[in-house]
Amino acid sequence: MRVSQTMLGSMLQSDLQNVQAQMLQTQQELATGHRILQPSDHPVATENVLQWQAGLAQNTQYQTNASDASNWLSQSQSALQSAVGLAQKVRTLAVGAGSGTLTSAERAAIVQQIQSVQSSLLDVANTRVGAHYLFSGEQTATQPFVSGPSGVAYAGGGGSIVREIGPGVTVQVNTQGSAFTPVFGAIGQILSDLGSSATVGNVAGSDLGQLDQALNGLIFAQGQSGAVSQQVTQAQGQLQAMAASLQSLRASGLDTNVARTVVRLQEEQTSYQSALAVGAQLLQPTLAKYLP
Amino acid sequence: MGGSLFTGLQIALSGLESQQTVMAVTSHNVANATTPGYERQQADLAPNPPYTPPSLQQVQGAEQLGMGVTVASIQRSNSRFLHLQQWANASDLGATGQQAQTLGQVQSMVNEPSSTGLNSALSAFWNAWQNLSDHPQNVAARSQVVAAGQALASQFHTLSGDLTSLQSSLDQAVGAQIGRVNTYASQIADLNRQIRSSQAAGQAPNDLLDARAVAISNLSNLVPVNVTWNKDGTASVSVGSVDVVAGTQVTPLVGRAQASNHGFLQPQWTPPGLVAQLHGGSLGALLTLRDQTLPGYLASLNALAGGVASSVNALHTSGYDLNGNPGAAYFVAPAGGGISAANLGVNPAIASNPSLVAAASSASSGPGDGHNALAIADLQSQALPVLAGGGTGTASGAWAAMVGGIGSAAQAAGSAQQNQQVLAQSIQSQQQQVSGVSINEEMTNMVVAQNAYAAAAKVSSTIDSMLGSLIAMVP
Repeated sequence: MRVSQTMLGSMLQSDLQNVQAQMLQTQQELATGHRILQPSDHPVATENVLQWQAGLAQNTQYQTNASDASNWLSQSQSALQSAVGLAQKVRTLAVGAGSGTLTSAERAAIVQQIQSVQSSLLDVANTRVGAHYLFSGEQTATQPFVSGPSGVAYAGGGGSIVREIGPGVTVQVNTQGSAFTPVFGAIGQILSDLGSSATVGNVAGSDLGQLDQALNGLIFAQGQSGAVSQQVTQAQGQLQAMAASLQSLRASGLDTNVARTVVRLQEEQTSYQSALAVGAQLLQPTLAKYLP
Repeated sequence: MGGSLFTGLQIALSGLESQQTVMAVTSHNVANATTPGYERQQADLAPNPPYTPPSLQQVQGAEQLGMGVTVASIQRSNSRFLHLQQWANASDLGATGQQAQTLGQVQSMVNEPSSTGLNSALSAFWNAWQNLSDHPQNVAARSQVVAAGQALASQFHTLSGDLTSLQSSLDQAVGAQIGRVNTYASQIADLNRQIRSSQAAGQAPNDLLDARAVAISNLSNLVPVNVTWNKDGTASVSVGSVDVVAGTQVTPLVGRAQASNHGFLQPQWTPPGLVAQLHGGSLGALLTLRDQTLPGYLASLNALAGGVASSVNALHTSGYDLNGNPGAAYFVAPAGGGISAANLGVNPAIASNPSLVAAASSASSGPGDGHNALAIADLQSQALPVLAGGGTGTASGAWAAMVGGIGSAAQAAGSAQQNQQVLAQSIQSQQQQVSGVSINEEMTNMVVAQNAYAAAAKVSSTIDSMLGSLIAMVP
C-alpha cells in the first residue's frame, strides 16, 4: 500500500479528535453528575427520567397535602376531645341538678355553671385554624355557631373538605358542624327545664337521655376523624417509600456512575496518550532529510 | 551505417530535456503534497521512434538506431470509481451533517432533562392547583395558580418561538445553498470548457481535472449528483432527471417563495416551474427538516398546549370563583383564534384578579370549596387530547415522548454522521493510496532523475570531446 503525507497527518488528526471528543463527554458527565447531557445521549432513559421527575413532583405535593390533612385532623380531634370533656361536665352538673332536692338558688348557680360550660363549648365548636373555621363545612370564613336568645344556632355551611393524598385517593378532613348541634340542643333543653320547677324533673330523665345521645354523636365523630388520621399516616408512609423508589429510579437513569465513568476516563486518557506517542513516531522525517 | 556524432548529441539532449520534465513534475507533486483534491502526476517516458523507420524499401544495416527519449504524457493517477464513491459519500455527509446539527439545536432548545424545562413547568402548574384545592380561600394560593399558568405558557411560547425561528434560519440556509449550487455548477461548466479546448489541443489538463473533481465534490455535498463523462473531456452532472451541467451549459436552480408554506423558498429548475426533487445532500436535508421534521415537532407542541388548555378550560368553566360566579376560560389566545403553543396565555381578567379562579364546584358551597381545583389538578394523571395524531395521553407522557423522539432522531443523525465520516475517511485513504503524494517516492524519483540527468550530461560532454578529437585531426 502506498502511504502519502496527507494520509499520515489526517488519520492522526481524526484519531486524536475522536479520543478528545470522548474525553470531553466523559469529563462533562463527571462534572455535572449526569450521564444524560442531552436527550440523544440516552433517548429512552430521558423519556423515563422525565416521567419519574413528574411523578416525584406529584408525590411531593401529595406529601404536602397529607401533612396538611394530618394537621387539620389533629386540630379537629383535639377540639372534639375538649368538646366531649365539656359535654361530660354538663352531664355531671345535670345529674346533680336533677336530684330534686336543690333549692332554687342552688339551681340558679348550676344554671350559671352550665351556661359557662356552654360558652366554652361554643368556643371549641368555633375553633379556627388560621382564618378558617374547622366545623363550618365549606363556609370556612363563616363562624358556624352563634349564640342567640333562643339558644345556640348553626350558621355554617355543609360540604366536605378533602385532601388528595395519592392519585385519585381523597380523604375528608373536616367534621361537620352537625356533630355539635345536638349537644347545644340538649344543653339548651336542660337550661330551659332547670328554669322552671314544673319541668326540672325532666333534667335527670329525658334531658339526660338526649345529652347522652348527643355525646355519643361527638365521640363517634372523634372516632371517625381518628380513623381518617390513621389512613393519612399510612398514606404518608407509602408516599415516602414511593418517593424513595422514584428517586432511586431517576438516579439510575440520570446520574453518572462515578466509578465506572472514572475508569472510562482513565481508559480514554491512556488511549489519548498512546495516540499522541504513536503520532509523534508516525510523523517521521522523509528521505528528503537525508539527501545531500 | 550509423548516425553522425551529432546524432549522439541530439540523443543526449533528449535525455537532458526529459529528465528536466521529470524534475518539474516531481517538483509540482512535492509543492502540492497537501493540496486538497490534488492527484499525483507522473511523467511517462517513452523512446523516440527509431531511425530508420521500418519499411520494405529499407536500406540493409545492422540495426535500427534508437533516437533517445521523450515525455509521452504526464498522467494523473486517479480512479473514477473512487471519485464516484467520494461524491456519493459527500451527499450523505452533507445530509447527515445538516440533520445532526439541526437536531442538536432542537435538543438544546428542549432543555431536558432539567429542573427548568417544560416538564417542571407542567408539574409546578398541576401542583399549584393541588395546593389551591387545599387552600381555596387563600389569595396567595390563587396567585400561585395564575403565576404557574403564566410560567407554563411562557415555556410554550419560548419553545414554539425557538422552533419557528430555527425553521426560518433553515429557510435562509436553503436560499444560500441554492446560490452555491449555481456557483458550483457554473464552475464545473467553466472547467468543462477549458478541459475541452485543452484536450482538443492534445494536452492532458490534469490540474483542471482536479479542480473539476473538487467542484463536483462540493456540489454533491449540497445535492446528490450523477456524473457522466463525455468523449470531448467534459463531464455532465445531473440532479434527479435534470442535467444541472450538460457540457458547458448550466441549468440554474431558483428559490421560489411558496405562500402556501409560510413563504419559504422552494427550489425550482430554470425556467421556473419544475420543482427540484432533492432527496439527499445538505440542501435536501434542509428541506426535509424545514418542511417535515420541525413542523412535526411544532404540531406536537401545539397539540400538547391546546390539549392542556382545552381540558383545563372545560373544568374551569364548569366551576365557580370565590364570588360564586361561574368560571371563565382559564387559558385564552389573547389575539383570538385557536389556542396554540405560540399564543397560549392565562385569561388577563383572571390574571389581574385571582379571586376569579374557579376553585369551587358549586356556586354556594363557600370559600372552603376546592373541589374544582382538585379536579383540574387531577388532569395530571388523566388521558387528555394532547397528541398531534388526535390520540390521548397524559400531558407529561406526551412531552416525555416528544423529547424522547427528538433524542432518538438526534442520536440516529449523530451516528449516521459518524458512519459517513468513517466512510469518508476510508474513501479518502483509498484515494490517497492511489493518488496521494508520497514524499519518499518523490525524493527517490528526484534522485533517479538527477542521476539520469548527470549521466546524459556526461554522455554529451564525452561526445563533445570526441568531436574535439576529430576536429584536432584536421591540421
